[in-house]
Formats: sequence, structure tokens, C-alpha cells
Amino acid sequence: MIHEIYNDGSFRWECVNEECREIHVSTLSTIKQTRGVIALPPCEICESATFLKVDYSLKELFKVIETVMDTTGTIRGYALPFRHVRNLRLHAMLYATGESSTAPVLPNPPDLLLEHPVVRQLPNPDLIYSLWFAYAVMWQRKAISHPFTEAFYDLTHISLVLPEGIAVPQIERETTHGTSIH
Amino acid sequence: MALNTVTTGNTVLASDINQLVNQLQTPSGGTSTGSYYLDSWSNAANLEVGTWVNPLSRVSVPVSVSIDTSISSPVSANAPSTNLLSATGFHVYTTSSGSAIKFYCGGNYTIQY
Repeated sequence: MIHEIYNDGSFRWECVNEECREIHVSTLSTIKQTRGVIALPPCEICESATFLKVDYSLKELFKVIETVMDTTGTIRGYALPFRHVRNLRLHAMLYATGESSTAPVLPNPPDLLLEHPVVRQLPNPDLIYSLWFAYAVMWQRKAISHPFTEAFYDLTHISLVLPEGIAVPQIERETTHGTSIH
Repeated sequence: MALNTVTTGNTVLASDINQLVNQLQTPSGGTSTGSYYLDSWSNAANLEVGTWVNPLSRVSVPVSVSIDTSISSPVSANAPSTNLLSATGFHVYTTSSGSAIKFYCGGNYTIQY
């Protein structure tokens, strides 16, 4: 399981073998994506091989999305658990370097969003990816129709100013007769 | 992990039921463990053999799977690999390193949810 992805592309992960649990730091050059999983380097202690799931379907991601509620029980927004977020981020990084032949099921947040001053001040860089990926899944399923900036405001009461066109993910959207591209 | 047994005459608690639910529907952050074994005869190098691993847990979407070769190190086989990781299990496979040989390996797995 990935614990943290650093700015230089390296990442900290934990061997999930219950008798080992060793923490490692690896770089992108030591991993490869094959047949729907990312193979991490063998654990140096127990020699177990770890494989991260990256062939998510939108249905699978929809199942793991968590609803964020306030103290009155009102739904404020949606988030994708970090453990899945980091798998998707790592997949996107491999795809960007040409090491993965298949694109991630969800597009990364647009650079304008990641570089926004408000977003850069967030304590955990995975947080904006979590909100964006969850928003993208809900948007794809037509559970949300407003732009990401409004969803972000509903959750945080912080205003983000983004050009209108990039405030929605560029993915196929469900229709009653199949899918259509927006 | 050993499960609690419920004795006749005692109250069945929520935790008694949930220990079973957590096995069949592993909660986020939980793990599921088991074993696999692969073997076959090879009539050509790089012949692949694989099997589908069915964990007890259903419904929950896994994050990763870890496999070792503690039951049998690869003999005339390459290091095993996995794919198709899903809520119903995963595929584990290996390839032969020669022809006209028996090749095999086996070990334990840990699925993280």
C-alpha cells in the first residue's frame, strides 16, 4: 500500500505481508505496469511481490466513494479513499512517462486546479485528487451536474476561480442510451 | 484470525455477527490472506500456468495484493505475478523457464482492502 507520493516521483510504501510490514521508498523507474496492475519491487526483507490495482472500473470506484456529511447529517460532498487515490496517481505518472500503455480510468485534475494558490496550501496533496476523482465519478454517473468549483465550495466554503471549461472532467458521461462525450 | 464461538444460552452480540461479516466483506483497511500453488508440465519455454484465487471476502474493492513463494520457491519457473485484482479475487500466474519439464511454485497471499 502506498503511504505517500513525493514531488520528485518517488513514493513510500508498505509491504502488506502481515509478518513483514516493512516500509520502503522506491522510484518510478523501479516499477512497471502490466496487465492491470503495477508491480512494485520485491520486498527486501520478506521478498514478497506486491501488485497495486490500477484497472479500476468506474463502477468499482463508485462503490468505494465516501460521502462527507456535516454534523447535521447533510451531504456536503464526496471523497475517494487515499489508498485508491495513490494507485490512480501512480498510474497517471507512469502513463505520463510512457511506461504505461493504458490511460487511467479517470483524468487527473487539471494543472490550473493543482497550481491554484488555495489548493497548494492544502495540508495533504492527495486531498484535491480525492475530491476531484470522487467528483469525476459522480459527474460521470450524473449524480452531480454543477462544476467542480461549486462542489469544492459546498465542501469547504472556499471559493476557487477556474475557467469554466476545465471545471468538469473530460470523460464520457452516462446517458440512458449508452455514453456520450461532453 | 481465530473467530469467537457462541455458546448456547449466552447472548449473541453484534461483535459475534460482525466478525463473520468482516470475513465475508473485508472492511476498508482490512486484509484477507490465503495460499496458492501453481504447477504444470511445460512443452515449451515461457509456457504460462495460472489459477484464479477466490478469497472469502466479496463486495469490497481491493487496493493491492502481495504474494510470496514461501510454500515452494519457483522450480523451472519464473517469479509468479498477478493481475485482474477485483472484489471476487485475483489471477496468479507464472511461466516456465524451459521445455519438457515440470515447473511449479507456491506461497501465501495477502489482499489489502
